[in-house]
Amino acid sequence: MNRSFLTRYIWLSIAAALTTIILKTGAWYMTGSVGLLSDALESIINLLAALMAMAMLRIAILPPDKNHEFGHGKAEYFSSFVEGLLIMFAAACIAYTAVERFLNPQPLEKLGIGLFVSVIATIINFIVAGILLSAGKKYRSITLEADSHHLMTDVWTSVAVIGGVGAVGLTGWLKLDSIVAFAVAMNILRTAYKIIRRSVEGLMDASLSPQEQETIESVLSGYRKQGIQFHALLTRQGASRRFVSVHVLVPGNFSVHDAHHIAENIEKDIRNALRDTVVFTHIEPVEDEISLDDIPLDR
Amino acid sequence: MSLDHSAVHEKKRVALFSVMAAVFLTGSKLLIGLLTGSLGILSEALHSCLDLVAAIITYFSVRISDKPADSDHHFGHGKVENLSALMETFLLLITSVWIIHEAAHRLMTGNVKIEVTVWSYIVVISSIAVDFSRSRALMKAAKIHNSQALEADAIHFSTDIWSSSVVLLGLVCSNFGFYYADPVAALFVALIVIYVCFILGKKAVDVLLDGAPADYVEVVEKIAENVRGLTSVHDIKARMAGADVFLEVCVHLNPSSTLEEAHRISHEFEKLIHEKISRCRVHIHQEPEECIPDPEKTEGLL
Repeated sequence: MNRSFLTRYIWLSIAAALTTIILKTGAWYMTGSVGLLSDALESIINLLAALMAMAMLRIAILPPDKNHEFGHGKAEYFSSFVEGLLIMFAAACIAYTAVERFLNPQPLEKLGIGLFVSVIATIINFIVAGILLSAGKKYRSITLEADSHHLMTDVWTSVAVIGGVGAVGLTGWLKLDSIVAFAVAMNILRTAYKIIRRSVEGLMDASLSPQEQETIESVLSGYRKQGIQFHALLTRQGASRRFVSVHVLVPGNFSVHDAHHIAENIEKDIRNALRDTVVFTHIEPVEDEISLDDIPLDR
Repeated sequence: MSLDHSAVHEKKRVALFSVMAAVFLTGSKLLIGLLTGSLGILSEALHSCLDLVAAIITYFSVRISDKPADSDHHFGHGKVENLSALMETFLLLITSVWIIHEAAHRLMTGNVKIEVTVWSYIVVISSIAVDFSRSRALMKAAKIHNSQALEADAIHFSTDIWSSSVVLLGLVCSNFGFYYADPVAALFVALIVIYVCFILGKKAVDVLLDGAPADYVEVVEKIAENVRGLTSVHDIKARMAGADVFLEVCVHLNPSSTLEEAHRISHEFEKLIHEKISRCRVHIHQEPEECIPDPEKTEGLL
C-alpha cells in the first residue's frame, strides 16, 4: 500500500503549529504578557516535533531496499518515541510549576486577550489532533497517533489553565489552580508513558496482539480440518506492517509442487484476514518427528 | 535452549563491574569536591554521574537481552541491546554539548583560570586509570559476545579517557600559565565525542530499523551452491537483534520430488548455515523450480 498520502496529515499539524505561534506572538505583541510569549515558544516545540514526524514518515514509506530488506516502517517508532519524550517533558514542566505555585500561591494574572487567543489556539489544536488520531488509527501509523497526543497535550494544558481560573473564581481558593494543573500533568504523563512503551515494544520486535494472533489462528484452524498441521508460529509488529512466519506440516508423499501450492493458499488467506501482513511459510512432512521440533532462538 | 550460560554470566559481570566503577568514581569525586570546595571536581562528579546512568542502562539491557523468547516477544529480547546503545548515544551527546557550553563560557568570559591542587591531579589520574581498564574489559567482552550494549558502554568509557586527559592537560598547562589550552582542547574533545556519537547512533538505528547486515546474503548464496538438490535460492532477507541473526530464504527444488526429500534438503541447508553463522535462526520457504513468483506475495512489502 502506498502510504505517501500520510504526510498530508503532518502538513496539517505543521500548519496548526505555525498558526498557534503567529496567534500567540501577535497576542504577546499586543499585550506584552510574558506568559503568552513563553506559550508561543512552547508551540515552536510542536513545530519541531511535526517536522521530525514528517522526516520519519518520509523514511517509513520508502520501499524495501538492499540495506533494509524488511522495509523502513520501523522509522515511525523513532518519531513516536521522541514525541513521547517531549510529552513527558511537558508534563514534568507543568507539574513543576504546579508544585511551585502550590507552595507559593500567586494571584492569577488577568487573562483578557490572552484567554481569547488560547481558546482559539486550543480549538485549532483540538480539531487537528482529532483528525490526526483517526487517521493514525485507520492507517495504523503510530507517528500520526503520537503527534496527535502531542497536540492534545497543549489542549489539556489550556483546559487546565482555564479550568483552574474558573475553579479559583468559583471557590476563591487560590491553591485549587495548582491542584488542577497537577492532575492534568499526571494525566499527560500517563499518555507519554503509553506512547513510549508502545514505541519501545515495537523496536523490541513485540509479537502481534492476542486478537490478531487469534485471527491468524482461526485461518489456520480451517486448514487443520483438512489434516494440515502447524507449529512455530512467530509474529512481530513492524509499525504498519505485520510479520508472520509459520511451519506447515503436510503428508510427506506430497510433491513439492502440491505442498507449495497449499502453503501459498495459507499465506494468501492470512493476508486477506489481516491486511498489511507479510507471511512466510516453511513446509515440512508431518510424518518426520524432527519436523515438530520447535527450533529455539539460540542454538 | 543451549545458550552458553557462562557467556550470559560474563556479560552481566562485566556490566556490573562498570556500574561499580562508575559508583566509585562519582562518589569519590563528589566527596573530594565537597571537601575541597573545588567547582571543577564537582562538575567532574556530575559528569561521572552521567556515566553511572549509562552503566546502569547497559547492565539492565544485558540482563534482559538474553532472556528467552516469550509470548510477547516471539523473536527474543535481543533488540534491547541496540536500544541501550541508542540511549548511550543520547547521553554522550548531552555530555559533549555540556563540554562545549563550559568551554565556550570560559573562552568568552575570559575566566579561564582554574584552581589546581594535589587533589585535582589525584582525581583526574585515577579516573583515567579506571576508565582505561573498564573500556578495555568492556570492549573485549563486547567483541567476544557480539554485544552492542557492552560496546557502546566501552566507547562511552573511552571518551571519558579523552575528556579526562584534556582536564589533565589543562591542569599541567595552568601550572605553567597557559590558561587557554584547557577550553580549546575541550572543544576538540567535544567534536570527537560528537563524531563517535554519530557512528554509534547510526549502528544502533540500523539494527532497530531491521537493516540488513552487510555480508550474510553472499554467505548464504555461497552455501546454497554446495547443497545438492537446491536448484536456486532467492529473496534472502536478513536482520539482526542484538547478537541474534534472523534469516529468511526462498529455495527452489525439483517440483516432482516428494516433500520428505525437500525437507531433508532444507534441513541440510539450514545446518550448513548454522555452521557458518553463529546465533542465527533460519526460515526456509520451499518452492517448486518452475514457480513463477506470485506478484501478490510481495504486496505486503510494497
